Amino acid sequence: MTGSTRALISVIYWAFVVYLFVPLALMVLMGFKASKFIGFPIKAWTMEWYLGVFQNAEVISVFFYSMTIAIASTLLSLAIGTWIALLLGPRRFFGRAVIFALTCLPAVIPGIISAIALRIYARLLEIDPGMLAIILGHTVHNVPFVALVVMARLSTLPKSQLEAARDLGADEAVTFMRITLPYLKPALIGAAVFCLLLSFDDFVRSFFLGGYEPTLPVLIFAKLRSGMSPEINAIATVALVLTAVLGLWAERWNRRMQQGTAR
Amino acid sequence: MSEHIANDRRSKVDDADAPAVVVQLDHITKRFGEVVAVDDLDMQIMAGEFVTFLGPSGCGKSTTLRIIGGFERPDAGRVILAGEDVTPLPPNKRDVNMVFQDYALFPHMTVAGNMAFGLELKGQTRSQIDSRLDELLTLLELQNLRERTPEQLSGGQRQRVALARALAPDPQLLLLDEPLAALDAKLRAQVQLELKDIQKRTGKTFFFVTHDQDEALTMSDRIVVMNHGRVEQSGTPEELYHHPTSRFVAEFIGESNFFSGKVTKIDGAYVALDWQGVTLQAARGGQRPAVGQTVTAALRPEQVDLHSARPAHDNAIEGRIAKQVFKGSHAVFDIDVGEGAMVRAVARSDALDDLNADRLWIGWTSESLTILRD
Repeated sequence: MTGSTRALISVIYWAFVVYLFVPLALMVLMGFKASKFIGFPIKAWTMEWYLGVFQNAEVISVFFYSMTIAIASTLLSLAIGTWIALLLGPRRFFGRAVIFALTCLPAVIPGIISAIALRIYARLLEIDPGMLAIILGHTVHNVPFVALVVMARLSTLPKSQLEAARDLGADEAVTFMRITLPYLKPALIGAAVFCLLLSFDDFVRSFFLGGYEPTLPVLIFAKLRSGMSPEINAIATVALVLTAVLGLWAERWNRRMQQGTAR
Repeated sequence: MSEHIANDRRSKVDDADAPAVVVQLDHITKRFGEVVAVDDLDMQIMAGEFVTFLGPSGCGKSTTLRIIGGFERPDAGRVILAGEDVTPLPPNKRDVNMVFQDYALFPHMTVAGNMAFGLELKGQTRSQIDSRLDELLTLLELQNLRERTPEQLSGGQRQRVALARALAPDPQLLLLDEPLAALDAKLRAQVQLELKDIQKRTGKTFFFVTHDQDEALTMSDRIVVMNHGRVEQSGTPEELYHHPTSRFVAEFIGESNFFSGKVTKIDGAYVALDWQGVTLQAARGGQRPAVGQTVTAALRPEQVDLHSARPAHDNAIEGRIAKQVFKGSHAVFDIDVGEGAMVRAVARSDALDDLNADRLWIGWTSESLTILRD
């Protein structure tokens, strides 16, 4: 690679970074504007909007509502996804490919279509719009990611590990708890964080399946209808920081997993 | 030792009641699709024995080991462990432990945690486990590594931890699946002696599987040579080396010269055969050939002596050195004995000093030339 192509690639890369981060930076910046309206010029600065986020009872309650949904759907997804991965993992059996395809399908169906379908289905099952419906909806969407990550990890578990445990007196349940599960730990942590972020971030499914109480993205959307204000910027920025921290922490586990360390 | 192989098809399970038999394999057959991995294998392993299953890959030796461990179910036959039929039992219900080829140490546990695993599942108390660990860590010189994790250990250390973990529950029988294959050559030679020493000191019955003849000859009380799912020959390392009964064994263990010819005379334990016009005297080696039958006899290269004149041996042929390879302590000579026939000899590297390489005599005793099974 010549010096000029290297320089060109570097320029393109930094242009991309700027394109990616300028909107985010603007969002953070506008949260500090001492005015009710978004836009330049910023004549005066204030911490009011940011402090307001932590004092706003509605925002706080919606935040916890969203967190509850995220945690519940993540736990459900982990249980179901791991179960599917264990079922499909080592064996070859008739219909395996079909089960695998069906498992992956919810991940690729457009959100709006799956949201409408889920809404109709929830009504059929007489599940009222609200927390339970959203949790189930997010779970359907998240299971494929868990199953795929756990299957990938499981495929690298040497068969001799399981045989050694059996050889030393462990039955299948003990082998799963003491050998398989610890081995899957990094994959499960990675998948859990991904599920938390997907659920916390989801708008379409939460909007269609929700009742009177909004999740955080739905609340932001509702506030937008009454016009942009620095308050929304502040709420979004706080959410951005929290999710970014969680995501980066998960990346650490991801890297460990690729290094093949189980601890 | 050959009486350990029960060729008698009427042998009953009751035979296993004798206390010295640890494992009896009762006509075991195992197929993988069309391939017969183990073909009607019938044998016993005695308490305190170091038995090695030796053979090329795919000969059924590992499958046999896995059948005893409970990882494969035989299609026919039974596994009788200390008088009890364990054929339908899973590995965790069998009083045997295995050292895996890749050691299969649990990466998320320390050395002590790995070793304690089997003891915890046996329901032993903390103090019982600790004293057993101390004993084994001392025996295997692992005291300083107690709290290390497997990834912090060298290959040789991992191998010893795997051995310690398998020994910890004090099994009736220890299965070893090529546990030295991952070690480098120098370390392997040292570990062979250690392993033999540990087997002697613990008095455990070892069932060792390998494709490496050196390992088998160095460590075993008894070697079982397998080929195509069947036992080719079973016996002490000396028996197998000096008196192979089949061409496969003669070729697989060490190196051999082969002589094929018609039997001309049978005289007690000795047989005369006509090989390219030369009469050779051979030991019958348990075979019962008839006069006029074509047989093959095997001769180890180091049994061939080089002489300047016709030696007093029963067998002597004149020839010339066609090729020689210097190996330091010894040399390998290929001797042309006429009509393109070659005999290989291994001798001291200075053996040719007093000889004429173009015209010399080779000779060997009739005991060293063994008639093989067809």
